[in-house]
Amino acid sequence: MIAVEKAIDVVLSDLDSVTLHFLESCVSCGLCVPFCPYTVAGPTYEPVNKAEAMRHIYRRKMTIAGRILGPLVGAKYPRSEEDLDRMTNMAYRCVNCRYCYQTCPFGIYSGKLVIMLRRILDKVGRAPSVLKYLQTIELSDSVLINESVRERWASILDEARKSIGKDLPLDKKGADVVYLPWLVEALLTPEVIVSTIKILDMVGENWTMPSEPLGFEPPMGVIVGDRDSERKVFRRINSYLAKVGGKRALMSHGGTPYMEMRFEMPFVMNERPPYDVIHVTEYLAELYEKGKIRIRKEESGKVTWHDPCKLARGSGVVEQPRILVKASTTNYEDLPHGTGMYSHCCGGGSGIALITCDGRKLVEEFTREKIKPAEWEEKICPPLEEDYKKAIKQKIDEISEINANIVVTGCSTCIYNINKGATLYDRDFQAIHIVQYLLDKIEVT
Amino acid sequence: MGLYEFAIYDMFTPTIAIFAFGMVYRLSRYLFLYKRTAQPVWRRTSFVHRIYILIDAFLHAIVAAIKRSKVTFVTGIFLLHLFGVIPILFLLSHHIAWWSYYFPPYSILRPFAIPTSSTSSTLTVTAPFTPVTDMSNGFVNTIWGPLTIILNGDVLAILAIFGTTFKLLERIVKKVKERLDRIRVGDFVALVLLLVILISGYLATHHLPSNEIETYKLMLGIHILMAELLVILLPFTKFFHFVFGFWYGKLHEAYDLWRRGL
Repeated sequence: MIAVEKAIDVVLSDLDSVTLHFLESCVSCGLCVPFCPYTVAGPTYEPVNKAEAMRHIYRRKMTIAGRILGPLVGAKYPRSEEDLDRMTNMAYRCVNCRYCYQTCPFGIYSGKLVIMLRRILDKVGRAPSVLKYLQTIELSDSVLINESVRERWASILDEARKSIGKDLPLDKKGADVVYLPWLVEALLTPEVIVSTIKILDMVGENWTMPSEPLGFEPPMGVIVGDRDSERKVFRRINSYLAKVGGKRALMSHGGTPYMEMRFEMPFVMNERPPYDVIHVTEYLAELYEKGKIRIRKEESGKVTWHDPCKLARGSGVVEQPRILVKASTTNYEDLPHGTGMYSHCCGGGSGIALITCDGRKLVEEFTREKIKPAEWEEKICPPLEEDYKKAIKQKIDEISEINANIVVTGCSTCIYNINKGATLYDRDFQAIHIVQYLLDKIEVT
Repeated sequence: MGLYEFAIYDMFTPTIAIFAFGMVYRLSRYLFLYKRTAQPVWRRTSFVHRIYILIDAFLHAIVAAIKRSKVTFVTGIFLLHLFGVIPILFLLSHHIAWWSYYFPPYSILRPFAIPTSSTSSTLTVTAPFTPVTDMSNGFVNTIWGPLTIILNGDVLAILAIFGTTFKLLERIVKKVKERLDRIRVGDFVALVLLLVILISGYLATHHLPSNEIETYKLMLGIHILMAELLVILLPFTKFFHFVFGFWYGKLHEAYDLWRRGL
């Protein structure tokens, strides 16, 4: 752990002109406010107010007026434990869904400034223990850190083997498609990994996958705010893909890993990877449009598609899933409060679901290890739990508005949060991953 | 020497000099911090779609505001900006005359001049004509036709004053009640300054509070001096959004959306 000022120096040392714009151009109009899933937690957690915490630091460090006039011009460093508590509360009430960016009249991405807060907090020992633990797992030589995790992974692979009736082509060189399942999927939606494998086998793809996941939800560094670990994990993934010679990295998880590898990795690593990054919805839509698969249309209860923020707003995958889902049912309806670029987030991404009490328990049960929370976390987690429930309720209410029975989506975190919300608020629908949803509807031509 | 002469003759050059220095300072920070990095593979979209996204980038926040932040849209975007400060600043006949004096090509906008009021006035740049009615006032004949009833300095200034006052009070309430960090001292400075400029301009135009030349010169002096102060502060305050932040932000956003194929 290092001093706050040193942490600030490190984080602000790699400022670029776009981030400078995010820091300097806000007029506090508040147009981002109604769109943030955490505004329901109170005005303190409005996106512009959370970003202001980073602007205080920036002004104190990098503006003449801030250095001379200090707090009078909104320029100050967090000094006390209370200041750090407040900053931590703000940093962990942002899912980085990019909705603030999309609705800001000046194109300011407040979420990026919240990531900077997380980076400072991580450096002063203020990253939540669950996320730090998962980051440590991700940075270890093998993410299958103990018997419990190894057993879970082995059981998933076993089930996949049984379902296709043959050995899995693990770590095969020269495959066209390298499927990259992550450990977070083994935790939240193991059946998605099995379904994806079945589909790859069914369509006769020349594919492979790593014998063990290359990360928990890579890069965990972006979630806890550790740029060095981001690079380290990206390097590991890149070297694996170089080793097997894969042309396309395929993911079923449309959360952080997809957007980070597809769009952010070149900025972080300053190099463009020599492979394409695709989500399974893009892959299936491509096969469907080329006529290589057919999708059986069925009468069903109402089906809707939830756009995961990282997949849609963050990565532009909007049309493909709709093509697939609409082909499968006679009863499809889009969510009422906005789709694609204007989709409302599930409320639990960027690590938030995992740092709640239930999230912690889930990880502990998965790894069969006790994760001891830091003293400051004891104060911060109970109110966060309440705010998380309020945040996910907005999505739950939106789904209920159209009386949907099945919510199809493409991100394991969204599935977890929506299903948790449905249970919590006693609603009668279920979220399901698109590969599971389509599995028995796909026919290979 | 009075305030009016001071504002007109003494402050003009220093104002422009400080503004220019401030702009160079602010823009150079952007240039020095520019980092060239590797790019992700762009999603393929058509040229037409990219043009649509470029236009949409400038508009979608406004559309979102109409849907979900109606009060902010009406007071902040519509009254304060679109139907207040922007047309007054760039199209009010007096201001067109001012802009044209320092930058002659600006006079090309003269046909679009907005008069001070919808009724005839010696302060308007367009000739009044007398309608064939028994009303005592003539009407100003502008390119705006009947729209002049609302597109005139009086109406626009009152709407802008209303919008600015609302934003000022809203911020005071938010700061006191909700103790929001995001409400900054600079917000109050900017809004009070804008309000003083709008009110003094309105009073000067109408020769208020009295019809004496000294009062008129005082009001006009305050108006010009405060406008100069705004220009001085522009590169160092939130007013910067008007000349740079808005344009840079939206162009960057459009570029980012192109990349992601949205």
